[in-house]
Amino acid sequence: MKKLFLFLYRIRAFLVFVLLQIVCIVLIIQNNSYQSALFFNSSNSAVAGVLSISNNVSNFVELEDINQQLASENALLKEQLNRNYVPANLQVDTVLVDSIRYLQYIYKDARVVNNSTKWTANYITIDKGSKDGIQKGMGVVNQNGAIGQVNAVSKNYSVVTSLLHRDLMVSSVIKRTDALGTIRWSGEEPSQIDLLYVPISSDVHQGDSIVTSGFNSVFPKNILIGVVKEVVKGEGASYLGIKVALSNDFRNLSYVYIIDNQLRLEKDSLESVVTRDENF
Amino acid sequence: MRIFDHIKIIGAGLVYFLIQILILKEVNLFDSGFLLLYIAILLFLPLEIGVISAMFIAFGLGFIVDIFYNSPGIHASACLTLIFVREWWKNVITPQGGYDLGAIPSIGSMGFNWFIIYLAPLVLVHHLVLFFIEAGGASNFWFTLSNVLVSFLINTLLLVLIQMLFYSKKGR
Repeated sequence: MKKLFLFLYRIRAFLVFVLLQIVCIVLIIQNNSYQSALFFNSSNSAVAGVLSISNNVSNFVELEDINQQLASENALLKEQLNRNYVPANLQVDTVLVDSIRYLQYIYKDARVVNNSTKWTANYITIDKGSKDGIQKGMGVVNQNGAIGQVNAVSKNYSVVTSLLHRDLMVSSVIKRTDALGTIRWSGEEPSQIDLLYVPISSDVHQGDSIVTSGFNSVFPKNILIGVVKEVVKGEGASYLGIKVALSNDFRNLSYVYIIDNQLRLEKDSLESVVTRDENF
Repeated sequence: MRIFDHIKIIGAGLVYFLIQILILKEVNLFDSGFLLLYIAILLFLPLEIGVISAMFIAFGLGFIVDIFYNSPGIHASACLTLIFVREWWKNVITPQGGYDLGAIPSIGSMGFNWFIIYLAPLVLVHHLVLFFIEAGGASNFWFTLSNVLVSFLINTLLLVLIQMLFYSKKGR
């Protein structure tokens, strides 16, 4: 017995090493799927506070670009607003029926305080949290298109899983043909993403727009993801290899919108009932 | 080791950590060179420090860095491996006559050749563990390996430069 204790004492360094590595492995595995919440993350207010200090500096340098982006977006929104007005010289021989019966999507703005693009699992930290009604699972977009999905929320900050995450898949369609596919990042080039599971018989051309399908309750329909850059027909493959140039420059994000889908709970609970029934 | 030396090591460590978090976090050279200055904290720890306390320091440091990088466990695991290998490696490369009491690994006290032999494998081990765990295995093997090698060259150069600038004078 004494010998055993002596032996354990001699290899104590190795035992501590193994123990701490096991802690690391548990942390890594817990975070392996993009759906599992990051428990220790940069939405922690102290951490996000430090990050936003360094972000303030870089934001100040990029102020001109940010202004430009916001101004062009303003112009776009004003133009859309115009379309809501009825022209003054309209003859009343038609009745305008508004198809929007309820407000399904509410947009909330947020500033990016931390962003990464170079790893294979990238996250974005934003400065809105549960205090502002942000919840896990909401979609995040900006004026150029889709950005990601909220992963973890603290009181004042949230962490968003970027589209540049090797495990995040987004249901999407080719806008011209309505052919369904799935968007997933390969982990290499931050300006390009793969469109998977499009059958080899599909009609896809360079320049086709890829938009969100609206099938899952994260993103509304028709949010731009990118345009097709390259289509590869592999020998004997059943799916096309499609490279999509992202519409967003993920290296350069400053302001984003979080989408609060008012009907998300209803849709998800309805669908979960159906999935449960399928098991019988 | 005097109290003053301890304060100096802790102060330098804080500086490396803050530079890493505030400035180098998103800096990337040649598309695959990640600047990971914070490992200097572990690499420049005194050689006589107990391996168990060193491992706890490594784990704690990696854990905090992970929170900033949103990568729980990955940096911590790489740092732990670095310290564990360091413990063995420093005994392998012990110079004739052994280490002085209170020696820290630096160009000034140990010489340039010893320092390179000490530094390079440890940086490489850290990067190999870090990038391959981060990539979730070897699915993008060559891409990940190129990240490792480019970052390894850049960070080794960076650490040697820091040594030459701030640690080279004897007794400093």
